Parts: sequence; C-alpha cells; structure tokens
Amino acid sequence: MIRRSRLYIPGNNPKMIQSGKALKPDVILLDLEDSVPIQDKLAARLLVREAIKFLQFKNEVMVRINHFPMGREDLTEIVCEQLDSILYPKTESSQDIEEVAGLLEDLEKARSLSKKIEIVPVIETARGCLRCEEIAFSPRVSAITFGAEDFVADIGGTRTRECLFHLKSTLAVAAAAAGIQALDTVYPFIDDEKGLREEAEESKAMGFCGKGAIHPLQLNVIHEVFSPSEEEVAWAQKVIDAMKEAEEKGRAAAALEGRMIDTPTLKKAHRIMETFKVMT
Amino acid sequence: MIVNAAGRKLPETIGGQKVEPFMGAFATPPRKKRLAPKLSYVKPGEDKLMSLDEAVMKYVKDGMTISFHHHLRDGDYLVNQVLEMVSTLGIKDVVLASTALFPVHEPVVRHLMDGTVRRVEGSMNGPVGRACSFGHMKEIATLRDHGGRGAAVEMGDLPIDVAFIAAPTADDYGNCNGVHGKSACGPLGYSYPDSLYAKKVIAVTDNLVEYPVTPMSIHQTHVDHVAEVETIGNPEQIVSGTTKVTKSPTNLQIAEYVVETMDALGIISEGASIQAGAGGISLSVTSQMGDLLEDRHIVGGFGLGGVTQYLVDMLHRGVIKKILDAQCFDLTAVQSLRDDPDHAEINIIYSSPYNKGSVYNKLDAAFLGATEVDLDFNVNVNTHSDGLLLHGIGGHQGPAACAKVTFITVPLYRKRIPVIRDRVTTISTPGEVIDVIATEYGIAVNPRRKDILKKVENTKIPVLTIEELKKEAYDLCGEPELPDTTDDIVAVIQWRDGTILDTVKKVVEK
Repeated sequence: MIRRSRLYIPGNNPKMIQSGKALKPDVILLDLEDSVPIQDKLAARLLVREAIKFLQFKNEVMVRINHFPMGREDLTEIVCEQLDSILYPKTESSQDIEEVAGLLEDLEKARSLSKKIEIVPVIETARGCLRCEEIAFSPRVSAITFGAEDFVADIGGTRTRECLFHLKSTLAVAAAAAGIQALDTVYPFIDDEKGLREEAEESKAMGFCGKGAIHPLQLNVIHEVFSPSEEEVAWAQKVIDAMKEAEEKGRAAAALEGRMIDTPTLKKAHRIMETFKVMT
Repeated sequence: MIVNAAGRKLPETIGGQKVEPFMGAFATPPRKKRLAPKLSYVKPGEDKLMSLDEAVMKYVKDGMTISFHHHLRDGDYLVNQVLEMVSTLGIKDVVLASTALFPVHEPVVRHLMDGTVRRVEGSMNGPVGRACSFGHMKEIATLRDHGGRGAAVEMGDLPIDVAFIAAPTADDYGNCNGVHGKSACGPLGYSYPDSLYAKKVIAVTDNLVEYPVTPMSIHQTHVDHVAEVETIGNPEQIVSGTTKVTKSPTNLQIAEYVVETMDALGIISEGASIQAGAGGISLSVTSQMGDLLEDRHIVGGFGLGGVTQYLVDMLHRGVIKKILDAQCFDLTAVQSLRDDPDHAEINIIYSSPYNKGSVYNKLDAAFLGATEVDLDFNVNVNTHSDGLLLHGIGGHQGPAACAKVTFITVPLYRKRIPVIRDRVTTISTPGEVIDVIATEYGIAVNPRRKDILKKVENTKIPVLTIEELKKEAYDLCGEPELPDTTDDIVAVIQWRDGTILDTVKKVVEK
C-alpha cells in the first residue's frame, strides 16, 4: 500500500468529504477525532459510514477514530467492506492495539467482511514513544505515525526539530524493524510550501515514506518529495540488474559505478521500484 | 417550427421578426453592408459642450435606442442617471442597448415596469435578467456576445439612435480615454462601434481636460457633444465577479488538468497566445501557466482579455510579450494599460466575426466557464438550472469558435445540482466549437477532436467520456429537475453571426 500522502478531512463536513473524491491523496483520511466537536460525534460517525459506502473512493480509505472508549462507538458504526484502515490516536502500548484489533475482529466476523482492516497507531505521548517497538510489532499494524503537537505538549517542549528528533528517529527505526511504514505527521502552515518541503525531505531522509496533509494544496509537494525521482528509479533498476547478474554468477555482492552493492542496497532498490510501479 | 444546427426548435418568427436559424459556427457568411450613418459637421468656433440633461432632452425620443458601455461594470452610474432623466421627461419605450448590465443597474427593473424601457439588447447580469425571466419586459430581449454585438451595430441589426459614452477623461471636442481620471476603467473599446455608427454620440465625463486628450480611444471625429457630470461611476467596483485565483481545492484541480492538457497538446510553447478570463479557475490556469513558462524559460505570445493582475504579472515577468486588452477587470490592469506600451487597447470590432481578421483567430487556447454543459458539449453561460437568465454571453462565443483549443472549466456539480447534464437549459455556445471539458474528476474531449484525444491518452490526466462525467454527477446529485417555464419566449440568444442559437423561456414566478 502506497501512503505518500494522507489527506485529513473533517468527518462532519459533507462538502469536503465529497470533494475528497476528486482529489488525489494516496489516503483519504476521514477524521472523527479532533476536528469534530463533541456534539457532532454521532452525526459525523453516520456521515462517514454513509460516505465511505456510497462514494466508492478510489484511494485508500482511512478513518481516524477517537481513543477508546469513544472509539468503540466509532468502530461499531464505520466498519464496512469499503474501510481499509483506521488511525488510532494516542496509542501508548501494544495493549491499546490489541483492544482495537479485538473489536475489529469481532465486527469483521459479524459483518462477514472479506478483508482485515489495518491499524495505524499514532504516537502522541512520552509513554507511547518509549513503547514504539512493541506497538510497531502489534497485530494489524501496517504503519506508524505520530502527533507532534500532543507530543510536545506531553513532554513540555515546543515544536522544534530538536524536540521531535528522538521520537521520529525511534519511530522510524521501530517501523523498519517491524517491516511497516513510518509516516510523518502533518505540517501545520498551509501557505508555507518551503517549510513543508524541508520538513518532508528531512523525514524522508530519516526513513519516513509519507506525510499527512491538512490541505489539498500540500499534496503536490508531499508527492514530489516521497515519490522516487527519475534518477532514483534509474539507479534502482541498475542495482536490480547488477545484483541479478551477480547472483547468476554465484556472488552475493556486485560493483556498480565503482561502489559495492549488496542485499541492503537491493532491498532499497526494490522499495523504490515498488513505489514507482504503484505510482505509474 | 424550425430546427437549427444546434438542434433547438425555433418558431418561424419571434417578436414579429423572421427567424434566421443558427446554421453552424461558420456557415453563415456576411450578408449585409456596413451601416452608413449620415455625415455631419461642426463649424469652426462651435462648442460641443452640453449638459447631460440638455443632451437627453434634445436627442432622446419615444421608442429610440440608446446605448452604453460596461467598462465600469458594477461601478457604472451613467445608465441609471440617463434613464432617470428619460423617465422624468416621460419618454417611453426606449430600447436599452447597454453592452452589459450589472446589479448596480437594478433601477432598470423599475423602468421596465413603468414603460420607460421596452426591451434590453445586451448582456444582463443579475436583477434585470431576473426581471426579464419573469416576463417583466414588454418586448423580447436579445443577447449577443461582445463581437456579435459589434457586428450587429456595424450591420445595422442594432441601430443606435443615441450613444452615451462614459468617459473617465475627455476634452471639450470629444476625444476620450479610460486610462486617466478618477474613474479610470481601462479601455473604452465596447463603445467604439457605437461611436462610429450611432446617429448621435454623447461623451459623458467627470474629468474634462484641456484639448487634446491623449491617448484617444474614442475620437473627436465621431462625437457630437461632450457633457460634464460630477461622477460617471466608482472604478473600485469594476472588480466585480471573481478576480482572485481560486483557493478551492477542487477548482485548483480543474485548473491543474487544464494546464496539464495544454502541456500535453504542446500549447505551452514559444509564442503561444491565450484568452484569459476572470473567474477563479481561469485565473488559476493563467497563473499556473505563467509559472510553467517561467520555469521552462519559454516566452509566450499575447494574452487577450478580460485583463487582470495575473495577466499583467505574466507580461511584467516576461513570460508573454503583449497584452491585447478589451476590458480591465481590476485596477492593476488599468494602470498597466496606461503605463506599459506592450499592453494595448483593442476595440470590440477586433472580436467581430465579420471583419478582415478577428483577434480570436490568433488564439492557441481559450479557457472559459459555464453554468451547464451537456452531452453534445453545448455550453450554457446565460441561465441557471432554474431557468433564470442571470448572465450575459460576454466574450464566450468568439474565443470558443476561433481558438485552436477551447476548454470549458467547470465543477461537476454546484450546490448539489449537476453542471454536466443531458441537455443544457440554454445553448449559449454550441458544442461543435467546444473541445475539452475540464472538471475536478478529469477531462472529457469532444469526439470531433480525435487529435486531442490521441495526445492525452497516454498521460496521467484522467480522460473520461462526457457520458461518464454526467453519470458521476447524476450518481452524486441525482437527476436535475427541469426549470418551471412557460412556452413564452422572453429572450433570444444570438450566435455571433446574428443567427438564432436558442431562446430563453419565461420562468413561472413563485
């Protein structure tokens, strides 16, 4: 599943949800949590449920539910064949995930769904950061992300590179170890294209493979950063070809443009080509 | 009944006039000569200055046709001033041939009711059009596009008795321009044919200056009198309609598809010339195209408008070479027209279909809006889906007919009503001249343009059929209701050559 971008759309705004169908994020992320005021929660659940059934999005459909116990009601309403994944906020342990996964299991069975809905935990607290590894290895978790504002508030810092560096690094390493995706948080300044690009590029360099968007205007930059460039694709193809040739000769490593390449390089090359194939 | 080439059924006569049906975009050659108004002369020492009251009293009579331009758009005061005088004098049944009317002209509705005005020949944006829709006009209105109106004046199809020309600057002999003075609005080109062919021409100014005025948009050789008034309008209000780049994500998506399609067609190239309108999507296309030209170090040709700050910006960034300006949509454009020799005023005869080379013939691309589009690619810009006549044709038909590629930029639906539908309420521009419909869900190419289809088929641009777009719209919104109209015709839509493209029916008032 390619997740370069996920566009947050408030779950209580029918016009924006409908517009989302014409837009091109990799993931349509319908939000039932922070962007929906408490008095609108019930209506939003029903709207999101009907929207994902009726609109038949071509993109991956992800819903950010509320933390349990309210999240139980969210899941009970929205679980259906058209739902691909859920974003679970303020995840602090593998127990949190097991609880969500358990309810998903029951609902999927009761509704005879042909799929398993994936979980993307959001790390937003110091406690969650300390347990990144166990969370990343939990069942149904296919990606992991973080919420910057809640995290800095939790640790009493301010939103700076330095304050977030440890969390991002920990999260990227945990994701890599678990073989899942590390997804960057949102960039809150809609009109600051330069800042968005810088933050996305830094995250990509740290191992992240996608980023949240709070406005469709951010999608193009995010896609540019997290899509392989022509040069990267050409390089990846050369690596694959060189390693294939080496394998045929019974070697585990090869030389490409004066540099030794081996299995980790091949793994990276395959990842680039997979993303490229999905994109095209 | 007659069926015209756009498939619309028309009566044999409308308002006592024999109907000349639309035969096809270029199927009707010129069949008339230019009107020849009587020559007149002004002897040395004679004074052309006259008060506006005096001019109205002296020249406007029952049943006459009086004309105005709309360069001041929603800031125009002159139409209301003159009609108030006409009404006070008890003059009845005038034909109001303003090039366009705006919400500021709501008092015209009162003059329709009290018999001062018997019909309008021109664009009606807002309340006057609404009144026309409800049958409050004694006679049937005629709508033409800008170039078609110019041709109608030249041919004598729209004979003008008295032309009142709001002039932001004039001298005492009638030379006028729109680039100087407190009411500067840019070009005065909509009035140019009126100045040539009206029986009497009155320049009305709030900035009377020493002779001779330069530049001269309207010439002393055509002006009978000059009237000085306190104010002709509020130029701040020429910024009427949308004149900012859209921030709507779906509209931006539409603009992106247009630019991507232009790129796939090779239009974004050295010397390419475009018609740039107002409206958020068109402005976004203009802006995105400017960025692309700059990134690729390409210099386009000319931009034709409807000029806004975005087109001016392209000129000043050096990504286009010239602007040909028929109308300014904001004050940045007015200033540029005044100060930049590469920003040139053109008069509306440049847009006429019957001259020795319309400016539109030189366009590579035009991107235009619509209220509705149908499965035959017919476009409606005049009426809404409830049948109400709320917009003029503006400069829609000419660029659509002549540009190498014409894009219609529309959302799939507005306010939960499909824009793409089986059949448009009114045909303003026939589908035979429309090439690409761009929506937020992708583009549809007119099957006549196999060349375009071939060039976009292997791109990332989502290409759908018009039927698929319609289905998506109907799936989301349901089938639209038909407007509640009677069989009474309240207005005719002329094609730019003067033939009848469609009629507008009376809407049942609820």
